[in-house]
Amino acid sequence: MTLILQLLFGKLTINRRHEIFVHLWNGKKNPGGIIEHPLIAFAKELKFDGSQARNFHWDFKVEPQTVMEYIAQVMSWMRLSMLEDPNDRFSGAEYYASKVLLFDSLTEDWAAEDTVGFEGINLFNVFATRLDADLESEEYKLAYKAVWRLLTKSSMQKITHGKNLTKTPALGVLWDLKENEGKDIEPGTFAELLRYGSVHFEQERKEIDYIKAPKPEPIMKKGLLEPKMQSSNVKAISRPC
Amino acid sequence: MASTKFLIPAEFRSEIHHIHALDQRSDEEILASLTNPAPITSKKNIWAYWHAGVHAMPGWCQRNVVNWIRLNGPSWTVRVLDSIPYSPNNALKWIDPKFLPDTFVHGTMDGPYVGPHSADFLRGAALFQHGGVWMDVGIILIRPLDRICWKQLEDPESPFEVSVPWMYGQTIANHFVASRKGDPFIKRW
Repeated sequence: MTLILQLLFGKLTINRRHEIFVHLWNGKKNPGGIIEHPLIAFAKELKFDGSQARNFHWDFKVEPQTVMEYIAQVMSWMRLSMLEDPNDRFSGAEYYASKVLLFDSLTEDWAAEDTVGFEGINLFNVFATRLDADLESEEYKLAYKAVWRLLTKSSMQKITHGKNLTKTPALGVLWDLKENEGKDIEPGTFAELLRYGSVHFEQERKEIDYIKAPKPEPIMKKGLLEPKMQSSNVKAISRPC
Repeated sequence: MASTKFLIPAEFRSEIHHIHALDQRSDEEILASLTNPAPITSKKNIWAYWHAGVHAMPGWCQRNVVNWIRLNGPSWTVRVLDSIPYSPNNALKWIDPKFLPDTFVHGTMDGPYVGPHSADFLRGAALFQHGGVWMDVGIILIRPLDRICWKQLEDPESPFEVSVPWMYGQTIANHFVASRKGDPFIKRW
């Protein structure tokens, strides 16, 4: 009985601890210094070049390491998706490659930025553009292009905050301001069209922009919580939330 | 006949068409309903978090959530978890503390990003324990979840168990994560 209880207790303990992200937060009250944790040591070497190569151009004012700490949960995902655990033979790498349905975040989630740029004020102005503005004006043409692009070819538009991470305020920060209450649905603007169309228009396209998962490089043969992963070939992009 | 408050320009009529909203209640009625969350009876759960509760969210985030309901209809159940003591949506009423770090369970987090990191903790735990889709309240949803990924995830013939927005290599964005209940990858994440 004692052995059974020990095994049971041990199993429960393992269950409790077998999550990378929760493990990173053991004994912590905030993410400061989390990048020093050996499980995600590779994060210290990550820069913004990988993201910029994929056309994500947020204007971060902080060092990459600050962003990587902010998105430590994504760092945990990276580790898991490169892992083959010899202890329980679970291959995160294989799972990521074959069982995770990926779609392109740039075209499906951030197409407004892809159309008008990554500064929040540009997005703010596009959505605030009036539908009865001069049809030949540059601002009207840009808003028309951006919003109809979202309605016809995007799954969502993720409005970012990234408070104190970017040089210029993100749209989420701007819409949070008291003086901008209601700008997201102001009558007679492209914001109202987006709000209406997101509920009352249905896209004809049968599939969204799915991505075949790239093969992880490198694959680590390590336990889930076993440190010292190799950092070569590991690049990442980052984004505000 | 579907509402036609805005006409679709001719150049886009082959790409979209008008439909009815799947929920006709007012914003206020829908928001009020979120303070009385339904018991879990399905894996079609939409999970979100706002520390001070749904009525304290910025108005534009409230309208995001309201439109999730209008777009996805009654087969999906939205729950906006919070950290308000005794709230029906209190995260610890829905998520087993064994999946969460002590600092969240004990309410001792500090620093400028307590809200976003609380959501980080709850994201994987809610999906592993109950299944469904986690969305940040900053998402303006345009396409129904069934047509983004859920049809594939609930199909026993499909290989897919999890769905996320991809950025580069092994890097994903975590503002949207969909998963079957009890997924082994989400468990280890």
